[in-house]
Amino acid sequence: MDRATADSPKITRRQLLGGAAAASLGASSGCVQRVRSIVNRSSPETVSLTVTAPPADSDRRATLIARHLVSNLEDAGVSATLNILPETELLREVLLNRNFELFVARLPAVADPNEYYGLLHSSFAGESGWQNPYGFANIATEENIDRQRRTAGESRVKAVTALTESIVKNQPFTTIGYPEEIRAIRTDRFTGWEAHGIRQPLSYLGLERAEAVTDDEELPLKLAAIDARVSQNLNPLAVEFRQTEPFTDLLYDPLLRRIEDELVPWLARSWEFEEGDDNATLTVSLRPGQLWHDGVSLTASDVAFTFDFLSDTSLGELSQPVPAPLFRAWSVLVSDTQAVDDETVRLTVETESEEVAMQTLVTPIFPEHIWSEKTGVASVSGIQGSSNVTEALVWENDDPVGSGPLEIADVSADDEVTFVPFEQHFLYRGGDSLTEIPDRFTSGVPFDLLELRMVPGNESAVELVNQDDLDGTATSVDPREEVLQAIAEEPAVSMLVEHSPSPYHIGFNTAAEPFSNPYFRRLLARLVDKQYVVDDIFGGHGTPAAHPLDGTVWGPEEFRFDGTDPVVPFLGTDGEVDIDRAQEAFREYGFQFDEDGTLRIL
Amino acid sequence: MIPLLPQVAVVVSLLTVLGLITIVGLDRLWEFRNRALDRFVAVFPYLVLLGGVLALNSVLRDIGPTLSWVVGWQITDTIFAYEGYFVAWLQGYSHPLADIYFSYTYIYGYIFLLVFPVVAYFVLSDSRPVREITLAYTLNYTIGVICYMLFIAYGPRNVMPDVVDQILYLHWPESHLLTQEFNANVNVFPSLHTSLAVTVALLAFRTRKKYLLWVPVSSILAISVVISTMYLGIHWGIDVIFGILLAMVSVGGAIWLTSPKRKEGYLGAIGKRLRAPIDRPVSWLVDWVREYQTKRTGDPRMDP
Repeated sequence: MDRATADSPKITRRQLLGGAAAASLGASSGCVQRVRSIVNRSSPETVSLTVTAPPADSDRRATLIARHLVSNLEDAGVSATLNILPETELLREVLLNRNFELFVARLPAVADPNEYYGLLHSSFAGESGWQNPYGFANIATEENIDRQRRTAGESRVKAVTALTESIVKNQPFTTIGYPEEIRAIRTDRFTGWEAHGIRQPLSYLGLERAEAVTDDEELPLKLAAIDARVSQNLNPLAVEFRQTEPFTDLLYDPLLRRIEDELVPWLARSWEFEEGDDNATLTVSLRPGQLWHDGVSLTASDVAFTFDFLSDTSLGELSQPVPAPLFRAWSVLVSDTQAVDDETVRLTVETESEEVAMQTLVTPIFPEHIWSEKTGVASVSGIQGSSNVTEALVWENDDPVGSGPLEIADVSADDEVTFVPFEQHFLYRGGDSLTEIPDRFTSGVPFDLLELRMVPGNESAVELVNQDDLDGTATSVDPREEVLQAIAEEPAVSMLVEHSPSPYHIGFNTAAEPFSNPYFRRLLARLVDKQYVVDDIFGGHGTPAAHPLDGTVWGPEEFRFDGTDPVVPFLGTDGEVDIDRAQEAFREYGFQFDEDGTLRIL
Repeated sequence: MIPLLPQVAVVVSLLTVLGLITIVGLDRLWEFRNRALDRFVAVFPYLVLLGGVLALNSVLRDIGPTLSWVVGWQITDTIFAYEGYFVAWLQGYSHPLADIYFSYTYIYGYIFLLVFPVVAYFVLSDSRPVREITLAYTLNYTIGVICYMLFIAYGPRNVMPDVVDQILYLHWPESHLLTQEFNANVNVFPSLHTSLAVTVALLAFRTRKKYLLWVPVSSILAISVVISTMYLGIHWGIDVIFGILLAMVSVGGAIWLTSPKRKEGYLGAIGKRLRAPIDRPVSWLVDWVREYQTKRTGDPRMDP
């Protein structure tokens, strides 16, 4: 934050001190006292806020939200500048370096209220990644986070309601709204896009060959990726390269998969939950005979390793633990691991709630024989980095070994990534142990290879689909008229619209002045017109939201966005700030404006 | 295969042939046939230098953006603070016909503008213009790529998409697939489109006695290219100003380097030593071609 000293005081401190020195020779001590009390008082300063956002090429909606915020801040008398950073740099500054004031980005989906544990619990304030990047610390919030973690059923709903209340009132971040994800798709080679959506990359496995294509014909599925990060890095822990629904999901399998809000046994065949005194034990049985992509057997020891590794990627090698920057809300629940035999693993979980404990099994499993070599301090051509970064967190992993249904055939940075089915995957082996898995995943992969082609923009992605070079866009396109029209104009191409659970939000660095003041955050939140953002910037393709659980079964009725925000309603109309109303609101909380109408903060 | 590349090759070739007929003239081309081999020998090292810089450029372009996040300065907000909404104001006058004109100028017009004078100067009896233009291009690219390493800036279309649209890619998506092969979106300062276009126009003025018609043609094209960079939302006005400065520096540098005075100095000596290893195989090749011609026609063509 830039602070410019106010120019209005008539006498500068230096003059005052000089004068005081001269005066003190003959003046009374009372006068010196008076000078002291003036000099030692700092005067209010104008502040300039920096809003960080990605460029329009990578996330036009985020750039536009940031522009909306900056222009409304300026209108209200708060000077602000826009700092455009590519997504990897933005996430690096926010999630790893905590070097930001306000940022605009997608928030990872809050699929379960316990995700708040990672996002907002102060015990994570010292960690990097999506672990409390806001530096937020609030007692009421934490008590409710802890309460929902220990309970189930009705009492958990109550805890979540109280938790939501403290989040919307404290605004550690401002939730803006859920966008709709829009993709251009062709149905002449593959069908079944709409049946379950393709937001999650795993859904590609559920597509079917079109009638015109025979079963034995060689058929690739070719998709445009507007976000090239997948071709630059395939490490599931490299948080700055992972988007909200990462392609690494296809490569790394979890014990349980969340498929349409159901937890489906995946690497695990079955599990048992046993309540203890103040914790519980989860005994998980793996499907027999599973392999990693390199042919090594996947065993219970890999599962035990994964949970130890996620809580400390250095595995005790370094003096301070280096936790993984992702999956922490869940991995932190696992306090002890034990591989009973090759196919059975016992996890001690710090919760008495089975509902919560089960969610820990959704984290991806890492091969011990690969990642146990990556526990040292990261280094660049022999030069060691800081001691809180392990190789595991920065490794490019361009030849990934997972256990997922697809494996990597080829990676060419900023150009192409090719996946091929992993023949030994349990999905393709058949057998009656697959009854709980939806049919579409067990009836064979519809393509021989999956090719992701990196494309510079929305328009060119749609153009390539329209020209029949590609089957669809893997990432969402901008909901702008020209792009949607281009999709509509080509009869063989359709538009697939899906609701996204991953909202846009504005994050505040609550550890830094003046964002540590919750009233200030609330005032800033009131300068964003969420309805306008959805109508205008999202082109109507989205839903405004008051908090990340708004619109889900967990969202309490009283904190629903209902035409206007329940706690931080916009200070204006149709996206335009009502300057008098806004300044009045700031004054109410003790903020001052100078004669030019610019906000000053003590 | 890079999209649009075949179209660009065809259009630029046709325009160049048209230019050769109208601006250079058939008689000059006919007269040139006897000097072609000598001219090739004289100019070849310059083309090698330019080719080398372009090859280095394409390598640096791949690793450049990553490297510049380590060593470079971010100047997007500084540029925006000085310049404000100039490009938005310019786009306020947009018109569908202007969209088409400037888009085609930015891609086809620009490449023609760079290619044609090299060919036109190549056939002149004086070898200095062609040496000047290849050196001026080399200087432009060298200084340009250093600036791209040092300065990280996004163009207006990426910073204020609410008021500046990406007209080029919106209406002509294929062109994005072409330009991304040559440019990263953080390489906007300075505008190399501007500097190279202005370089051509400045050199056209220097050769006005030989190609008078090229002066207005290149000026109109250069001005159109300069405006297009801003009109299409790709560059800031400040990128353009520094692009013009870069053009002046490059042209000045090229004139200074090719001046006959340099021949006697130590620079001339360095130049001679540098081109010696290139000249040797080339002269061998040329001798071989001459011998072949002599054998075939039985008529040893002597140089005038």
